[in-house]
Amino acid sequence: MLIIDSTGVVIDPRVRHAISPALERGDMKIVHGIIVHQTGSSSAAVTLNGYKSTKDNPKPSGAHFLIDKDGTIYQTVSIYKKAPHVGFLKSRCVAQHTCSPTELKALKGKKPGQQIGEVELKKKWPSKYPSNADSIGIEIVGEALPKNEPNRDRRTYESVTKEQQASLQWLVQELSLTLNVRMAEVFRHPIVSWKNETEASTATW
Amino acid sequence: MVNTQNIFWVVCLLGVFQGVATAEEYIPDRYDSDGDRYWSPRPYKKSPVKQVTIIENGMKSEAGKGTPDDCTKFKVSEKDIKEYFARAKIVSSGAYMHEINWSACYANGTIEFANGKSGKWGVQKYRAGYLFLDGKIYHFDCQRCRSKVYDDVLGH
Repeated sequence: MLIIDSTGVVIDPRVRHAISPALERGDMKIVHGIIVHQTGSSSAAVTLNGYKSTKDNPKPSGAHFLIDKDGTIYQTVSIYKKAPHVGFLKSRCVAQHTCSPTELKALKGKKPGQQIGEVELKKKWPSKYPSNADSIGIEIVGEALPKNEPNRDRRTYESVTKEQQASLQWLVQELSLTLNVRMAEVFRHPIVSWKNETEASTATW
Repeated sequence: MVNTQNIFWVVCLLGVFQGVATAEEYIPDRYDSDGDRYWSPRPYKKSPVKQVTIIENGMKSEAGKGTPDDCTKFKVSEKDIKEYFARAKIVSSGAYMHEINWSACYANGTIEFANGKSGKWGVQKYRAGYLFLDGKIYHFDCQRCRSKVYDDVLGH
């Protein structure tokens, strides 16, 4: 069980604090799920630098935690705050073949991305996947390779290191216990949104 | 029988092809994943598309081989690609990887613009795309594209 202070920061020797205010998007009232990502970068330093607000990118995307290659865990957003890490939600009922006629009607003619995402956001969990509003995001440092491949779609994310794997398992289990999140509600990013299918594909929990 | 003159020409031709490959080689720069401009769109000036060739169409990427997506129906036309690069919005490399929608289904080919630039293009079913011109990669998203080829009702 994690100790969390009044600001939503985890107090544990395994977690370093690198809170990035530019990632915060308001209060998060409840947590229903955990989404596991990979950064596409080679180091935590590069990713943390990208969490700063800039002229070109005033509202950066990012998650609550970041796991470096050596397994070091950084907390980058309070667990009481929403972070922009999911993107538009895929339809859970379509993926799980459980759509009611009403759900199918609402999805009819809708395009992947914003249109389907907006239909999904109107639903309540667990009819929808956990979203930015009710999930904790964990980023794992890892590149999409080979880097000299200009077509990003031909790049595949590298395998997580054994140190990252150990840290991820510890963090997911502690968050699950502390926030009362079911393990079945822990997803790789491409399950819940339209992302490169190899993202976090080697991560287990 | 192997003629030494023929060997000479084979070596010369290999050199030429290697030269072409080197000219088209992509070297990650500051707009790529570890660069300081990863989240900034690369400056890009639009020019009308003069000519398009389609090399691969209705393809499924290696990264998406485990998905149930049927990519055979994602068949773009030259008109679709002309529309895409006329209407698409340039996005950063970071946004392309993390924010816009990714699909396992893609098409690609070569392209020539009215300003004389030429290179390679690629477009995905969910409207992400790229251009590879003069050794530089440009990423795009086209929510304004009207072609029906991008529409996929239930997203799977």
